[in-house]
Amino acid sequence: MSAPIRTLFLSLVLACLVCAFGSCAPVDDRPHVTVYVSADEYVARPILDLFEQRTGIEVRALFDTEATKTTGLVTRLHSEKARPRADLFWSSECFGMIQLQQQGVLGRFPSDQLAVMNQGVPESWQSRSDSWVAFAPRARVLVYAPDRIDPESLPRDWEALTDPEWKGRLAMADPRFGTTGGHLGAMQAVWGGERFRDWINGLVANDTKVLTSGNAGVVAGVASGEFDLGMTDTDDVWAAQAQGHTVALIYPRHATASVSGGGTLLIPNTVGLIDGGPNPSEALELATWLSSAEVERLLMETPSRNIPLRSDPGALAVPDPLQVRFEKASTLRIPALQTARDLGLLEAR
Amino acid sequence: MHQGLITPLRLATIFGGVALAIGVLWPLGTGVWLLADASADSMPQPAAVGVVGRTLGWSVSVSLLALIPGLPAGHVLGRMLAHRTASWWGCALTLLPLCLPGYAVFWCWWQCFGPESSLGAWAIKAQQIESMRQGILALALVSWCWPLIAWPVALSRVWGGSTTSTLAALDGAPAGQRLLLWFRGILPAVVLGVVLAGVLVATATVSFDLAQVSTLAFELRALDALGATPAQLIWYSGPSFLVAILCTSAVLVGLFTVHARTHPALSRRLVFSGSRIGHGGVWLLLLVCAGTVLPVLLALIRIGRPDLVLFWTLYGPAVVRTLGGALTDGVVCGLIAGLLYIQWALGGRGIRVLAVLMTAGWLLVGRLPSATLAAMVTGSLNSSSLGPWLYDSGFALLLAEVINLAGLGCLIALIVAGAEPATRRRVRSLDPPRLAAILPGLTATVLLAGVVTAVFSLGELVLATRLGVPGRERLAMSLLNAMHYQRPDTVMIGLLVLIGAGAGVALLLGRFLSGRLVGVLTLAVLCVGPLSLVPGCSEAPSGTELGTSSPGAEVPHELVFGAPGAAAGLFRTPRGLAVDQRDGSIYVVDKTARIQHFTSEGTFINQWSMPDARLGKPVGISVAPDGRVFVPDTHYHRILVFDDQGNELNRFGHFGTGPGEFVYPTDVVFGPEGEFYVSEYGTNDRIQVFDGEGRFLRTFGTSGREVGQFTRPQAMVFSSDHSELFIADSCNHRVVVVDQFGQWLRVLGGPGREVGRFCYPYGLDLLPDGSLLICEYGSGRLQRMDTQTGAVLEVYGSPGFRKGRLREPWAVTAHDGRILVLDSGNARVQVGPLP
Repeated sequence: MSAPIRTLFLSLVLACLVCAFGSCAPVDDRPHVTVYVSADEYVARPILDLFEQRTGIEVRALFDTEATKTTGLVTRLHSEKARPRADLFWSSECFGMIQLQQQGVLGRFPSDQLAVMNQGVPESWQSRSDSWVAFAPRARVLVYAPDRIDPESLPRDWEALTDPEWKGRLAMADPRFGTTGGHLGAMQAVWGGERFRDWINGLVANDTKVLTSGNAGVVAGVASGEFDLGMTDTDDVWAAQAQGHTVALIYPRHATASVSGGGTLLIPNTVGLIDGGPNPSEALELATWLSSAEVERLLMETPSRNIPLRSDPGALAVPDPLQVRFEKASTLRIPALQTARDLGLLEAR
Repeated sequence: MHQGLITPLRLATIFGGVALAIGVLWPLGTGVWLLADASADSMPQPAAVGVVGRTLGWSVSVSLLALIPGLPAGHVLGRMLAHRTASWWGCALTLLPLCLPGYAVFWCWWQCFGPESSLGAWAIKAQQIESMRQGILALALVSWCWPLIAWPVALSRVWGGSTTSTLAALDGAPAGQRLLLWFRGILPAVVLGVVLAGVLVATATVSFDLAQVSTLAFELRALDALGATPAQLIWYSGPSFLVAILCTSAVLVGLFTVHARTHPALSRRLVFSGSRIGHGGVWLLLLVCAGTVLPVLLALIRIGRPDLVLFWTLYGPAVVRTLGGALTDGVVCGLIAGLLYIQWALGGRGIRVLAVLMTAGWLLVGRLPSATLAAMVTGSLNSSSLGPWLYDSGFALLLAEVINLAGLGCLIALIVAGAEPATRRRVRSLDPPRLAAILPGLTATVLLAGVVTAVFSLGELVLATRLGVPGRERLAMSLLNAMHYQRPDTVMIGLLVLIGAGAGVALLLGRFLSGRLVGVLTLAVLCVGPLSLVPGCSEAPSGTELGTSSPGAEVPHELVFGAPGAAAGLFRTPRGLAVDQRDGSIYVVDKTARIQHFTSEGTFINQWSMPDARLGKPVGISVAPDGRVFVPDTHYHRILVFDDQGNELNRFGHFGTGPGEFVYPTDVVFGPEGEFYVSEYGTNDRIQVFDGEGRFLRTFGTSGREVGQFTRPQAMVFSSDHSELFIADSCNHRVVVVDQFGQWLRVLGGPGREVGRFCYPYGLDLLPDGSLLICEYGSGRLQRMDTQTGAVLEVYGSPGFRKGRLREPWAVTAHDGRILVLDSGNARVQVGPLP
């Protein structure tokens, strides 16, 4: 190698080492908070940036990938339990948060702080735990293509998906990831084991397609015409609409119209404090901000269009949301998945 | 004896051993310990036969299919290497397909031929979409992994694999027989390549996820997501370990069979040089273009305009970190490979056996499930004493990635070492071993291993998610999320960045190995060329001839509404804005051909679509004093009139150059006696005047740059007393002032980016104080101007996407003490108080 080339090579090596390590070395002289975020990056980042601008507290965020939504970060938080790296966990759902709480990964918010964070939130939505707080939910919905299906013919409740009419026309995300698993747990909690098994059997008999690419993949499949119906979340439908896809949604019920609190499932965002996190005071500040009415409003205005808990959810066309204990639904998630696996639903690909 | 000569070997062995202990023995030992410590009852069932079978089926099928391009490519590359004709060109080209992650190649093909294409629509109709998806997956994986077959085949040729067939050719043997002999010669290399490609395909989780195919890697991830312990993951992935052991054995056996067949007299030294590209080089170029460049280009054309500025602002740091991380991985893996090369080249039989065992160890441990590896690294490094230094600093991620990739580097070291002619090795063994004697091979090893591992590191996901430093995410994660969120424009730029990065390392390789700058530049044009096709870079009017711009104060933005999208309240390149003077409500028309109606506070009221939009979308909108909405239906050469509910009240005009006919109408403005004025561009470049019933009254202006002429009159506004009509003569970069009969009065501005000059003025309105507000599409700013003298009173905004900045604004209007700017490039309306 000639001298200039050697110099170039060494400079390059040095530069990449600096790139990889120099900026990664812990710099603790500036106030900062480390938050793991499973909410969509394009939704969460502007909100975290705003907090940073207002408080001067640097936010070091770690986002998950859409395909392994929440579960990847839950696993990581659990593996770091002995020496937590994160101060806070902002989850786009509540089931992973409850799992972390049960595993002893979460700490406790001070009671006065908790009162501030829950201010204005209806009591039914206030967590029974002092480890996490709920805000800005989204709904489980059925997505369909209005140019192919008459809205009048759509199933009005989740159980109607087992009607032979929908054979080969329905898709859902793999329930081992994301909100789908929690939804199955909530169904088992509300319906009981036998009814839930019948429903899973019905889905299997209807050749329901289980997709590896998450809820967004379900919406994409419906938009493209591969499927007529899909189980998904509201934010994925709004995102697809924003991209110009012709899709619409309905809110199927879990119980007949005569049963109060039997509508579709709302899954809240949650923020939890990590036990032993290195920056507890900054974490509290960020948690308070995230659970504030202002952030709920900001989340409502994002393409994700989350529902503010501090307003009447019915005002945003989510009629009579399902009344279910999230702790129970979370506990039943694994048995529900086991049932789904045993009955062959996960083989439906 | 020869103390100074032995030292490099000793050092290499010691350092190689240390690396092996950290990177191989420690993970394997931990894995065994975890398994031994775990209760047998807690272990899950090993992976189902169906899943393992599906994974193997895909691996084997794709790697066999990859023989189709890989064999001839290897033959060509081998000839280039052996005959020293532009071998750098061949090397760089055959590395390029690996620069893109496999899932990205699939995504590109799927964008082109997926459900939104006519082929995809047919497949859905014929219920063949699943077959089609799997076909595209196979195509993508083949066009991604064929270089792994081409390289062993090429090296086999260099080492004399084609000797027999060459001799047969000299003997005049029939072509079929020669082909058979040639194939026999390269058979071990083919096996080696097929195994390598198969392993690569089996671990390409994300490609299969996107294609809705569940493989062993996906099941492992699901198990991990449900809280499985590392021991459970290892137990579950037992079948993959068996496959890994078989593959490692096959690779090493294949490698040494190739070595053994090397004919000492005819084997050639691996030389990277030459400048004549020849037919082989062109063939390779076509192959790379068809498999890698073509899908990216097609997807780019289909998706349209990616936003480079926005992408760089959002992901620029992630790009830098990704490149930095990949290069660091490459350097470390390259150094490990270099140590192995030294052991092989300078060591005796015992040291060589050790080198082979080391390679086997690295290859084997590289097949550990990423989730398991991440859990092991976390468990070991995230302690209170080591954590702040090793876990928090990013070292943990580096270590895991090196463990994952170093095996590949070691394999390259053995390949390059084996490429040395046996005679040369024997001659060298007569002299005392010197590091200088093996420097060319050592350099080639470090560079090749470094480049290849760095390229593979670019798209790594699982380890980055589990071990990445918070706040320092990698590009691949953002890329995958953008795919899921259906943000193809972001994905496209990310892919172009990866191609650019891959091209960069390939160029570096070429530069080092050959020093031929001209060829390197040619390759640069090939690789980075697609960037120049990004319309976002070239579509905006060039202002280089117009001088310089100076940024102004922020555009007032107390209220901002709208964002990119096609749902209610969102816009796709909005190009027309008008305010109903009666109630202040706002109308916007965009490139989805929708007219959206908002309250004065930006709350969505209703919307409707233009009856026809296939040929193009309107570029303007106006509201008459009585509330009727006039839309110049630009590409249908007519004016449509609606009420505020979207009911069509009237339409008039058709294509033509005569009175009452239109070519691309752009704006409508209303005169003092109920008449209205319509501007046009394209051919007519004139203003026509109609009475309130739409009957033609008069016309003025022709196409041109002189007095009385216009080039794209884009917008108009009357003075308050209707004595003067201000016309944004946009492509002449000026504002023309005429009276209501078209009498030319004066000109404001002129081409330029300086204050007081214009670059494509597209919108204008008069303020209550009589000053004129002009928005410039080309300069991304507003200028407030004295209507008589043209003196600039104020400048607002500069190009950008933050609130208060503008990107390609199309319209501005004032109402009730506020100004409203249609910030088209940012798909929003910015509203603020009058200055």
